[in-house]
Amino acid sequence: MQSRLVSLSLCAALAVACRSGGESPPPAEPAQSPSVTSADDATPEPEVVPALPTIPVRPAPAAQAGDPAAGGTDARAQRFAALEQEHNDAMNAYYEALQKALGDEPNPSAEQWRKVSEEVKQPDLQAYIARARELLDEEASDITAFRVLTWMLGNAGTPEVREFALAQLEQHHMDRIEMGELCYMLVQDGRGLLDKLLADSPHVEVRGQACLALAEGLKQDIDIAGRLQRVADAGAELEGMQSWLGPERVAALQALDPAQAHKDLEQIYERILREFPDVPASAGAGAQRTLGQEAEAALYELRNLAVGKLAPEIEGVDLDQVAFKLSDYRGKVVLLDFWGNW
Amino acid sequence: MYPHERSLVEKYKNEPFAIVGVNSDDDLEQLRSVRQKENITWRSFWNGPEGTSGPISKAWNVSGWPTIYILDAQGVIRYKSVGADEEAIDATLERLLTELKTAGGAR
Repeated sequence: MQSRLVSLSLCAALAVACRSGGESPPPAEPAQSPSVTSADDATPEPEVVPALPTIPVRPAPAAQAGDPAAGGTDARAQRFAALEQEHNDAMNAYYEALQKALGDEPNPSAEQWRKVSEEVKQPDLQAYIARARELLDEEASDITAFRVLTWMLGNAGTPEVREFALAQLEQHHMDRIEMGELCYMLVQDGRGLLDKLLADSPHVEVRGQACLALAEGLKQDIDIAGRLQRVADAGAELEGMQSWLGPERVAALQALDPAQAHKDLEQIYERILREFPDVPASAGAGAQRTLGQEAEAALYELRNLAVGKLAPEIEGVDLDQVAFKLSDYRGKVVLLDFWGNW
Repeated sequence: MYPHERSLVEKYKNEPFAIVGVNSDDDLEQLRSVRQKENITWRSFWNGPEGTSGPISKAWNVSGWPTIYILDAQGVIRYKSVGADEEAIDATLERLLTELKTAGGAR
C-alpha cells in the first residue's frame, strides 16, 4: 500500500512539476493510475509504478556519508545525511497518516482524495530545499553537492527547483562518473543534459547510461503519443494529459510521427550495441545485464513484438502441465495476458 | 483484472474470442487454488519456476505486469500495453471482432 501511495504522490509531484507554479493539486486521479507492477533482475519483488506515462521508479542513490570516496564522514556529508533522514521520516509519517485516513481503501474516489488531502498535509518541502541550498552555497562542486542535487531531482516537485538542480549539475558535475547513476532521473525533463552527457562525458559508463535514458525517453514519448491518439476526442482525459505534461509537450507529442520515431529509437539502440555493449545496466554488484543485452532485448521487441507484427509462437504447458501453443488459437481474437497473482 | 476478464469471457462466449494467459507465479500449487477461487476458466501458459524471469516473459521482453497484447484472428499483434486499460481493451476487442465478422463472408 505504501508504495502505491508513493507512486500516486509521484504523479501529483509530476503534475505540479508540469504546471507553472500552481497550487498543490490533489494526488493524481486514482482511476487513471491503474496499478502496474514491474519486476526486473535487480528487484524480483514487483514494484508499483504509475502507468501513464511509464516512469521508471527506482530507488534513488542513497547518500553515502561513510563512503571514503565521498570525502569520509565529513561534516557536510553528515549534515546532508541528517537532512535526508529527516525528510524521509516526515514523508513516511505523511504516508502513514494518509493510509490511515483512507482506511486502506485501495481505490479512493477523487472526492475522498480531496477530503483526505485537506486533513493530511504534505510536509513543507521548502524548508528542506532551503537547507539543501545552504549546503550548495557553501560548496557547489564536491560529492556532497552532487548528492544534494540528486536528492533535489528526486524529491523536489517544482519546476524551478528541478531547473536549478539541472543547471548546477551541468555547471559543476559533468565529469563525474556518478552522473551515470542519475541518467534515469533525467528521462522526463533532462534530455538536454542527457545529450550533453552522451556527447561529452569522459566516462563510457556515463555516455552509455545517457544513451539508454534517451532511448527510454523516446519510448515513453511514443507510448504517450499513442495514448494521445486514442484519447483525441475524449475531452476530460486530454485535459488531464495537458495539465500533466503541459500543453506544449502534448502538442509536440501529438505531432510525433510514429514511424519516424520507431526508426530513431532503433538507431539509438543500435548505437548502444556499437558503442556501449559492455557497460553494466545498473550500478551496484550482483549478476546483472549489460546495456548491450538491454538494447538487444529492446530491438527484438521493436522488430518482432510491435503492433502490426505477427505474434511470435509460444509453446509451453498450462497450469496442469498440458502442452499447448499460442497458434492453436489462430482464427480467434486473442487477449494475451501476462499476469501474476501477487 | 479477473472480474473484467470474467466479464469478457461471458460477453463473448459465442464469438471467436479467447483469453490466453501467461502466468508468472513461481508456486504452481498456490496458483491452482487461486484459479479455483477466482474462477479462472481460461487457459494460461505457466512461465516456470523462475516466475517473472521465466522463459516466455523473457522471450517477449515483458518487464511490467500485467502486460496485455491483443492479437487478431491471423495472429497479428494489434494492441499492446503495460497495465490493464479496460476501456482501451474493450474498444480494441469490439473493433477486431467486428472486423472479423465483416471479413467473414469473404474468407
